[in-house]
Amino acid sequence: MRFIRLRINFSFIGFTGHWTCSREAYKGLLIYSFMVKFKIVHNEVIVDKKITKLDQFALDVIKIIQNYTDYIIISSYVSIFFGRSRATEDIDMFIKEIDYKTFEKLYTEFTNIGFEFNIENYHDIYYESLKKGTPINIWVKNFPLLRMEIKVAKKNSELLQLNNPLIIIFGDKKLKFAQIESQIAYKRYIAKSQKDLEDARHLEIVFEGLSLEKIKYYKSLFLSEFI
Amino acid sequence: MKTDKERMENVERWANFVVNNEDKVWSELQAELIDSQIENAEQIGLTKEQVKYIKEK
Repeated sequence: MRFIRLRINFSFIGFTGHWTCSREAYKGLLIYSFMVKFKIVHNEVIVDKKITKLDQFALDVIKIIQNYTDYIIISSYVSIFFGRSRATEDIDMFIKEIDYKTFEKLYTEFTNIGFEFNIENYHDIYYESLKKGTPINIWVKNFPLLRMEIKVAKKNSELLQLNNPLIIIFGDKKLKFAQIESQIAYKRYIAKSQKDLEDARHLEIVFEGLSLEKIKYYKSLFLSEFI
Repeated sequence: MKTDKERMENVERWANFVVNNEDKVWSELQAELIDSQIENAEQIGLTKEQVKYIKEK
């Protein structure tokens, strides 16, 4: 039987060193490291999960959006992505302010590859919805039951979330989500439906090391804007 | 009919399952649930007008 010893380097409060262990023990350590809550390290979370049709839809839309403007995913999809056992019809997204010419290009690319918007005219979508702070909807042609709801971030809390994304490393892809603490605060203290309270509780359980101070901060920010 | 408390207990039970299992294990089960709901919705084939009507109701 082949027996391979592996060297694992470590660093702890200024001390560095290494352990050696067998390949089997190393595998065990790796498995153990997956069996903890989601952990945010340097503002990033690594997820190695099966892609659902909902994830694929989000990835397809984000792939295009990110070529034109900055974005952040908020609300229900955040808790669903991290394991909540429910689906949703809407994935919500804030985007950075976008100029008319850029939006025209974005619209054209989406429609060219088979997406539809809730208004079939990019001039009206831009001036009657996006500019006025009304969300717009995008879906795969002939399947409007699954939509990306996009809104330009305007409020301070929305801009703060947009400018401080949590980076999700998902296979070879990177996604930008709102900070988990902001989602817990919004769902628990502003949205407050049973579904929202359950989403918040789910996030609280599956994430390790969330900051109570951050939740309090977002709570007071949201209360000052929404109540 | 489940009470809010019972629903929350179920949410907590599932969240703990997520915590205690590898991503591939819980996500396989979650994908079955989500994908089947989306596949059902695809078969219904609602138009955007019908979806708009349902949303506004």
